[in-house]
Amino acid sequence: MAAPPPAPDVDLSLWAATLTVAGLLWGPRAGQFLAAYALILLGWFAGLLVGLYRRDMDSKLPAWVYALITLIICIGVTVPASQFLAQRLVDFTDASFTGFLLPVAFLISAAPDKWAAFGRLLYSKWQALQGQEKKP
Amino acid sequence: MNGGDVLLILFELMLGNLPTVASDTMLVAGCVMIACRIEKMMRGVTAVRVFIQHAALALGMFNAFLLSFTKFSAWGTASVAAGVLIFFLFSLSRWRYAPPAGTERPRPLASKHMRHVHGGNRSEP
Repeated sequence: MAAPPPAPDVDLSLWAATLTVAGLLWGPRAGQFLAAYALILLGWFAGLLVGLYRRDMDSKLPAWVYALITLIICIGVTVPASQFLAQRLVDFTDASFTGFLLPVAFLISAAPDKWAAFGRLLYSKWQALQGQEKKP
Repeated sequence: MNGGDVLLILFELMLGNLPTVASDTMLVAGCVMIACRIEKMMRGVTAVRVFIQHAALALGMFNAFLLSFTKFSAWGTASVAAGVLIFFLFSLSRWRYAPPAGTERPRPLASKHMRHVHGGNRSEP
């Protein structure tokens, strides 16, 4: 009786599966994307812990909703925000935008009750700029 | 490839990595539990040391979870161990001389103390 044919040499590790899915999504540069999003997730979780510790006890927003909102914002906003920062700070540092991924993701999720204050600050700056333009 | 094939692949993947899947499930559960604890903490009331202890533990576990999807998965154990080590290092002073308050089980009260709890006998002077 002939021996059964050997099983196909398939790597069933989680790393191989992750890389396969990432390769389908992002193509040959999947490794870079994986590393970037791993950094973002780590920054998000670290910031989430700080945010949960700092936020008001009488906050109406449940913790899981807060975690979900910050996760979505981190995944969507961190990369463009880091690119923007890297472009603005090019005079001070040669760091690539990937160097800002971790701190930016951390800051996004660590400042839950500071978003409104940050928005007000931006609005006042914008108003000041508008006023400066109208002056002459 | 249809939906059934994808499910079959996922099942095979889970079966082939059962120890990793089990440890990842427990790591995520631990992270959620610690996040719930931290949510109960209050800045300015809870000692910062307690927050750092829990945050280090949670970050070690979350990092190990992330590492399990990379080719550096062997470093996951070191990550968790680092979190546990930081947790214990920050409680060294608390355990330096004796078990801290809240760690002893209730002991039977002596009769003297029992009388104090009861409020004393009315007939006593």
